[in-house]
Amino acid sequence: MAKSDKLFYKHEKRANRTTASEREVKRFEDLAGQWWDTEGPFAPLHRINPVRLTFIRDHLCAHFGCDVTQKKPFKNLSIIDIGCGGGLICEPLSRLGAQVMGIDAGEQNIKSSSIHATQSGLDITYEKLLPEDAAARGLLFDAVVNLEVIEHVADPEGFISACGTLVKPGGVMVCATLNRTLKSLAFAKIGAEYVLRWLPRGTHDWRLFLKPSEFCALLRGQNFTIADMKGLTYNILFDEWILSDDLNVNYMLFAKKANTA
Amino acid sequence: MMDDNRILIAGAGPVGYAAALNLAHYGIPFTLLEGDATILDDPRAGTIHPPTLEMFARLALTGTLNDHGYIVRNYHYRDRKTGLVANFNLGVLSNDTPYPYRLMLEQHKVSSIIDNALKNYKNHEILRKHRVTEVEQDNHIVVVKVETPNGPTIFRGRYLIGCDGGRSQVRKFMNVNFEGFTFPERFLVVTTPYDFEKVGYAFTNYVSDPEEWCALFKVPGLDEKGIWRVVFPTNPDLTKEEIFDDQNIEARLQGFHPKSNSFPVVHRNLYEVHQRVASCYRDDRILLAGDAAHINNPLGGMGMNFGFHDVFNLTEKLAAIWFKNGDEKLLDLYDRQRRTVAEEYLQRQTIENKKNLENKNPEARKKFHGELREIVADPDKARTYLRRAAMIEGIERAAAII
Repeated sequence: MAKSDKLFYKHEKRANRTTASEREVKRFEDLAGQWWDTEGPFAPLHRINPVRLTFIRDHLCAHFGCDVTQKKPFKNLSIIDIGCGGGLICEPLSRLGAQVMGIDAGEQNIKSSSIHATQSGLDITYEKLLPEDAAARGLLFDAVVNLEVIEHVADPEGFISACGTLVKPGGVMVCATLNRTLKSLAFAKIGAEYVLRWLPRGTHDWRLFLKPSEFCALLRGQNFTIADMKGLTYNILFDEWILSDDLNVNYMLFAKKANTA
Repeated sequence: MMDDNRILIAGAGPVGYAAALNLAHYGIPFTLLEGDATILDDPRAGTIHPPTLEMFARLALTGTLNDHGYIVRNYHYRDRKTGLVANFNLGVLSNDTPYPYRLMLEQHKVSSIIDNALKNYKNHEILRKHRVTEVEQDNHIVVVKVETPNGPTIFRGRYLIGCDGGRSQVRKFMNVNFEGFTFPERFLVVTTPYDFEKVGYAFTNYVSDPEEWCALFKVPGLDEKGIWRVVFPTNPDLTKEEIFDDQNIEARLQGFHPKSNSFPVVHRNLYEVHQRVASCYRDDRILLAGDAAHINNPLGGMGMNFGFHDVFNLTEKLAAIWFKNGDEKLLDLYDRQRRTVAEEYLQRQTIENKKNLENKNPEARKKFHGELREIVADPDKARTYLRRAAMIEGIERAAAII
């Protein structure tokens, strides 16, 4: 049996009661006040944000037939951002007109993102909530977004199941995460955390990273169709991220849920 | 006998077993009824595709399946006269699935592995020498009459899943047709320990020829030392005795791969080959799955996989009805999703596979082989082609049907 198969089983069998990992939640809590500091501990997120937003905007516009030239193309869309952190994705989506809810397992994150949204004059619902609890409430959204979250959760299968339940029939899910390759170990883990000091040390546990193939299998298991898969590549010369076909480090997925008859 | 609040499954082939394991996993009580006394080990399906392995991984079974089967990452499309046409590398699917390969494992072993896994679960019974003979239902319950060594017995359940094969007895009591056709030629399967790998073959090969195509696979075999199955079409005018004649079989093998001494032959089996799909998979509380719902030629190794996909789909919906008060219309959705892909995909693909292998028009053959060469030379084209051949496309298509 290949090593990768074994790792995948490990992911599947880790059937904890909640999807959030306590240790991981705590780690982000300690940094909560610094989400919007573009040169602070989350600087790399600010750098990668434009390309992630482009991916989300273009796919959502194409799927829901929104007019990208409008000031608020998402005015009829409801979106939930799972693991919203400081609201770095919620705020721009809200500005595009969407009705946005941001949930996070960390209390401090919810507090700091709420304060920031008020300062920005945006109407965003933030709540300390796990996706499975949101699903149990029967909440439904046109789009469920989970970016750089799955690599921090204790039970990826349960997490995607809960995220899937939150998607309306005919809706979509957008995911981003890090691949489990030697390149990602070198670049994202050692490079970003230790050499470039972009991220606080210990932010990522490389062993928890999901391969695109594993992510696709989890989504298919929830009856999603994988509509697009793109890599995010860092261009060191221009200090910017671009979408590419290289899935070896960061990648994003766009998946569709069937409509109902 | 246990109470009526259970699901009945007719037929303990691999698909009936997979239905059973899913129900056990969800915690739904069931009775699995099978006429045969033991799991039969005649050479039938032997290929498991990536989406099926993804599904079994959810039941923590893929590791065991992998341990017993051959992981085949490459397969050959060949021309009997000119040799290798295209070497398909399933590795191009490595971003699409955790299992970018074909697992070669005989269906009776899958059944045995599931039978063993079921020992970890309670609230079910597996009854052999129990053949379903008659089926009746009302608004609340399904009643089946079962032939047993102690005479006929009655079983009751909330639903009945008919996984009792191409000649399904359950299907006869439903208001459905089994539409399609039967090929005039039967397929001969010869098994031999002769090691074709030594002479350049992959573990899976499709060998095209206008006169006598064949398909060639290596499976682990009863002793797990490896055995080759060769599938040939046969002349419809010949009797079974004539086909099974030693000299005839030797001639067929020599004709395809000449060698100085004779081939050791372990088994010979003859199968009728059909392309049929039930007109509906649901008649109220009775559902069809696997060969009872669709039969097709074996080229591409899809039939059993499709049956597995049926029951993973169906049991998920039954669980929603059982535990979450789900609408029974979900069972119509099962019919729409699985029957649509059986027609659009399973039937079309397997008929096309056969047509391509046996094509008699030299120009068309040349063109098709050229296309295959182009596909394997271009990773994007190969990925698109193999997503279909490896059944990923079919699964995603079914999920999109509403």
